[in-house]
Amino acid sequence: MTWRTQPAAVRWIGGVTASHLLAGGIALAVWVATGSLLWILNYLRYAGAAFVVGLALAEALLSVRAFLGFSRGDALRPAWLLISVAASARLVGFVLAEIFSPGPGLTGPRFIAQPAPWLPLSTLHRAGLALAGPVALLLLSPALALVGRAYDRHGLSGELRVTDWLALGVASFLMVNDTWDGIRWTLAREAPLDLYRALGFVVDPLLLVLLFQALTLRRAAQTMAGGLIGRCWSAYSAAVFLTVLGCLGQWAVNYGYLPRPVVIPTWFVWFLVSAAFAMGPAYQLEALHRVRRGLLPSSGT
Amino acid sequence: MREQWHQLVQAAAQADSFRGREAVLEEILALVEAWDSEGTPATGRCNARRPVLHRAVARRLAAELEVQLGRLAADLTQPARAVEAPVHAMLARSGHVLSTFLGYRAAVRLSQAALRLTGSLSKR
Repeated sequence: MTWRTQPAAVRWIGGVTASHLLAGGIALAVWVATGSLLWILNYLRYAGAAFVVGLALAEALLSVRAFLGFSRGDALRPAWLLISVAASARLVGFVLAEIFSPGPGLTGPRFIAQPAPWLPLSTLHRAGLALAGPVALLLLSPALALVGRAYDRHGLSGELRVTDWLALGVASFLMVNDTWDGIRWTLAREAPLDLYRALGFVVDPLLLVLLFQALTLRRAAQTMAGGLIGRCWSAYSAAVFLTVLGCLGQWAVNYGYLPRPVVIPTWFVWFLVSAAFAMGPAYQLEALHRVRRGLLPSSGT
Repeated sequence: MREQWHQLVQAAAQADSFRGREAVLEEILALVEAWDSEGTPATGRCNARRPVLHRAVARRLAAELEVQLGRLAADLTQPARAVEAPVHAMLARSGHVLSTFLGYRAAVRLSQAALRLTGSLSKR
């Protein structure tokens, strides 16, 4: 399947994402060339926020439409319901987080709740981050489990390979360090364990579970490689993998483990996460639309 | 027709594994064959052309299944080419997978489109 034969919604998402990343690259180049932070900060604050909210809206609308394609009793109906609610949580979360955002600063954009925020953040901003992060991920995990079970029932479940286990091992090591740093930060400042901070602590273990599910799903989806259904679940798998990368980048920024030039690309990972999450239901919807169009030659192949 | 298809999908769903469904699929194939032949006039000329027309629709259906199911479609459509009624065999083989991943309504819609096309071609 080439770019021209991709579903229109996927091409649209891909095109918007590429344009957005190009704009980010220009803003970054201006910063490097002139030392002026104005462009990159405005890019993250306005263009970045608009992009993330816009794609979350597209993701939510596409997910709900995909859910409506299923009837009561269908195996994946509950999964798409959970995905739709998760997408809605991401949308509401991003809207709240961006409206009440204190601005990105030089630590990059914040798109997920963390136990140790480095700036004083408003409650609504933190609620937004919790909704878009741990709450959405908590809804996504059982949805992916249902999809994995569906593949399994057809004898199409994927076996994890050595590289998958290696990725899980590395991610586990880094995530444990992330959690440990969060605990140290909390203890050092005697910060109370409120709801949002508690949800921040849930993110790392949850992401590890999701990474395992995503890797398994990716292997299973490979049995349908090249098809719209396989691409749908591969997109979700990629979204989870990129979320893990983004979280690790955010951790490295917060605790100063990596120099800024190495960390800056992880800021842009969040935009790819949004794109991948929106492409998943777009592929599913295209599959449903094709069936609706029937088998007439005009539907093309 | 909807109820009948629902029963077919249910029957296929009860089998534990993909291979285990083969026996159920044989039954489905017979049922779908009977279903399709209900509305088709059985003249000698139509009967003679029927296998050719079936294969034409089968090619289109196989292409559609490849778009939906990717690599898996090869497993579901290739053995069907060897039998007399490839459209029905493909629908029987792919019906359960499509019903799971695209929903029951979509699976029915695709099967109806394939069977309608087969029926209309047979009458020409």
